[in-house]
Amino acid sequence: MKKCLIFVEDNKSRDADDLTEVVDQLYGSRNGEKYGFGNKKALEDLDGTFDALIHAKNYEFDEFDVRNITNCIEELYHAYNFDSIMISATHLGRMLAPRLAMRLKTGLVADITAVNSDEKGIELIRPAYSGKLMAAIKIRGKGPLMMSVRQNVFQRKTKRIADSEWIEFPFKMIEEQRIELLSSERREESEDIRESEVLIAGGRGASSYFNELDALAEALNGKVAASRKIVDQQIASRRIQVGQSGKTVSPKLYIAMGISGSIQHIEGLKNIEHIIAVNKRKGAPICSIADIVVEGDGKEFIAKLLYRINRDGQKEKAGGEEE
Amino acid sequence: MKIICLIKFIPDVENIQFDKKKNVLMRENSRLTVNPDDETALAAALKVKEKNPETVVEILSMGPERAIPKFQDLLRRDVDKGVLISDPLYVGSDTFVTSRILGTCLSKRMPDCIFTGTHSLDGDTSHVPAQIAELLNLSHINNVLNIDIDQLMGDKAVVKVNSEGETLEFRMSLPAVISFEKSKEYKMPYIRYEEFQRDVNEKMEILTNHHLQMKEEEVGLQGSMTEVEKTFMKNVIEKESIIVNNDDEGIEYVYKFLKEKGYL
Repeated sequence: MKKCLIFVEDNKSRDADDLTEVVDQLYGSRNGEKYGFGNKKALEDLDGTFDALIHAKNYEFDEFDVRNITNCIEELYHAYNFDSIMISATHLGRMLAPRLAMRLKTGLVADITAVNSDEKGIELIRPAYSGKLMAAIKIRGKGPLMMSVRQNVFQRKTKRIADSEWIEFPFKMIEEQRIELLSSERREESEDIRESEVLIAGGRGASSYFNELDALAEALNGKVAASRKIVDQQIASRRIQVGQSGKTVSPKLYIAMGISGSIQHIEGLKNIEHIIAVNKRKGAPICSIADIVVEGDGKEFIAKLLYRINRDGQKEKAGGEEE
Repeated sequence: MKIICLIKFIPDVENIQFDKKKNVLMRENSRLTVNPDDETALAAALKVKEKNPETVVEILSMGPERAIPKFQDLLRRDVDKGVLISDPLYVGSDTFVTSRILGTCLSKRMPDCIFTGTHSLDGDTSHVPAQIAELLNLSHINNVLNIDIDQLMGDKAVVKVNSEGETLEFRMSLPAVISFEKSKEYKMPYIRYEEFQRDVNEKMEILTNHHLQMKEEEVGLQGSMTEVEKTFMKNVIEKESIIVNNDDEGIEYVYKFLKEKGYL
């Protein structure tokens, strides 16, 4: 039996839940014991999908108190001797994982998107050179096996197991906090493109009509996303960027408007059911992974499709059907 | 106040060539550039110095000797001193070893602040700043957008941070590792005309393992905790696409598809 620790960040239990799939892929669903560690409240959603849930006795760490979180995990490591430690590659996770790896004197693979596990050993796969190529990495030394995992790439497949064992751990290494959150401010509306089932994404070819994507997104009850080219041109915010340097998305429907589909962009598309590519060049790389390729101008496509959708709506109204 | 900026010279990622037959990057002849986030960190440090002229700004880098001309270009700005760590023994070091080498060097010249970039465009692990902070027992924060220069005195720093759609403001104890992300707020000053040809050798120090005295088995590929097994181009699963035109027939096809799959 392999023991795996998954760090559970406040308000991000779902990411931790998805990491159980990494354990299953590495060790098989029956051979990996899943331990979650975090603040008690964050662990509550995970009851039943982890073998054990560990929180501190009479103590809650501050979300960005990386030093004390590191101290806690170090103590847990010495108590349980975990075979592997997994941390979601969030803003916090990408600060925590390297510090912890240095503390435990072990190797760390950052931002993994896949794992290979066979009799020859374990390989962790991550994109490199801005996603231009993939690297398969082995950990040397005594371990533990440590990785930060790109969000939204893995999804838990196993059903609920039995009730989780709850463990209150008496941490001893808590020290004075040296970083203090003074204020927080949402910069823009907190709409997350990762939550949407339909994404209408614009690329360089859509820069002249990017604003018109909104109307199509509205008609299909989706959200607008962008490629890096559009973000670099400052037409759209980095918050809605799809791809290696943006977000990994898994909508059911992805309509790519004027996106050529560099490897870096395609790296951000995971488990998408349907892709429609609208492009002037039917030879663009994105077209080879699309269900439908519409060869032509995107602006015209939006206008025509909206007209068609509305015409249908009118007819239904005229026919007295209720929506 | 003394600020040390960590600078990484990276291959020009946008124009790097890939040898498809051998499945490797052709790195050797690629042009080196300063990692953009690191450039922002240095520009921020120079901004601090502009407001508080008694500030000392140093740069520290580890890399091949062919980075020297680029390194000297940085010294032609208002940088007080530059240390380049370069030793063939260190070739092949992973982030764990790199952090230990830089940490060893920094522990002998502890500044009040260490400025770094958050991501590097080539490796993009973001490991080194956090690991240096751990080795030196300092606080660390990533994705810094802004540092409040007026409040940067004594033993505290106040920074604004981009955290997943939120702007967070933190106060942290110094010394600390402060990692910037590329932003328009901090721009590198141009090199002044009279500085172009200036000999900056006196500002520059090159350190080898002779100075740092690390054990051979603890550096380079030998000391690394991770090893790249192989690199490969990602195979994209291709689909049998239906190609339509942007005419009534094509639109009708798309419309029916959307309707059939339940999107309308």
